[in-house]
Amino acid sequence: MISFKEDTAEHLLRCFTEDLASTKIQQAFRRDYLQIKEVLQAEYAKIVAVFLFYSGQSHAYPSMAVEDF
Amino acid sequence: MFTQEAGLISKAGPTNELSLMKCFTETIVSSINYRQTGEKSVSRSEFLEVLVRIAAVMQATSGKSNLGETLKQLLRETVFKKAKKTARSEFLSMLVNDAKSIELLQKNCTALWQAYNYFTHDKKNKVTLEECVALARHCQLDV
Repeated sequence: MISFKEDTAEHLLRCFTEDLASTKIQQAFRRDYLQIKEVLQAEYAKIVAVFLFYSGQSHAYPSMAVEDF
Repeated sequence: MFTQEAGLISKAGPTNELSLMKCFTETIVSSINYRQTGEKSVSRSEFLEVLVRIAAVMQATSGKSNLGETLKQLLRETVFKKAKKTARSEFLSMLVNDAKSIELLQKNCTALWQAYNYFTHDKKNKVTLEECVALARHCQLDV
């Protein structure tokens, strides 16, 4: 059975929460963390679209290799 | 590639090649516990961190006190304007709402899986672009 699902706001929020939790942003930028989180969350879908373009061309896909950065 | 196309590299400014590479390396080092290999690459979540680190470099030299604002400015005025991006959500949306495409894929599901399985095995779960092109040409498609 083939089925496709759109990226819902709920799904994106879940991805964002997991992504953010696995970074060291909170530890490294404690003072500005809440503002950073707010901005990243608001722009998350666009950031992912940019990341997917460059990681998709990278030999390290699904990651982005240093050569593609 | 990304930093060049997004217009982030400025020879005289704060975001020169060296400082951008420092942001990249610091992110890799900060998440060393999660890394399985020594490969120099960043995952999607690490990419978020790299962007924040670049904004921090810009903020340090601009004298602005708000890192959130600098990050917003970096994204909206530089990265999103110049960097390339996929139209994944638009494509998905089109696919979800295109009953004919779904029907066609459904109908040819077995053959598609066979083609996928032909190119993949236990240790290789992706079909490369070159393999897709070879398959399309084998099917006499003009690619």
